[in-house]
Amino acid sequence: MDLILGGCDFTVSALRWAAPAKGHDRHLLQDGFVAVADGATALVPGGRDPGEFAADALRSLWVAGANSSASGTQVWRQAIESVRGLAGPDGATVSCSVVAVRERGTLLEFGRLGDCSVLVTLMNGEVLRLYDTRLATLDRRAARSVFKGDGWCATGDS
Amino acid sequence: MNTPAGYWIFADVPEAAHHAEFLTVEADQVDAFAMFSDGLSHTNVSRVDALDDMTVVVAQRTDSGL
Repeated sequence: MDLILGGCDFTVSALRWAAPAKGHDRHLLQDGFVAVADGATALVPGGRDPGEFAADALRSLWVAGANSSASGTQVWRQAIESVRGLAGPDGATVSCSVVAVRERGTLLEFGRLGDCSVLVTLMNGEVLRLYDTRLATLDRRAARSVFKGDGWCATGDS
Repeated sequence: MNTPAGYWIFADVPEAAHHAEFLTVEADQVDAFAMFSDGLSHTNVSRVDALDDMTVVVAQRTDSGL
């Protein structure tokens, strides 16, 4: 689909596939706003559907940031406050990682929280990345503790 | 804190916003961008097709004249 972001024209496509019994990713494509969220299941049963919450999170970010001069942090804080009652009961709270871009006049403000990521290619060929640099360490730690000894997951280093 | 293992993500704690990371660029300097729902570390690349969802959003400028 064709969108306008920061006064510039973009064609935007989404490729999505769902693992068995999951399907909790959501995306939102609008003029002035593009975002992806990865819904995370609650640690205990009884929470709401993580995909539905992820969709709520993206809508809240879009609404909070549209035509707003507030900083990224302020917008994201406002968005989280607006969905506080939608994350489910205490102890079974669903959540999501999010990456989003919103226009601020002629600027594009990319934001990330959690393990979602974005690559931005500039006209001069420079590539900018926004990602959690701690992820590989956390991932290796989890892989070691969950799959230790079965040879299924190559951790690469120790 | 609202996440497993002390990892801040989007849930019901507004303080999490202060752990978000931002990058701002002029729109007319952007050629393209790609968003990923997962972090693509070497371990989750190996299992993404089997155990996890993946969404990729790709945006390409169409008015740059290139």
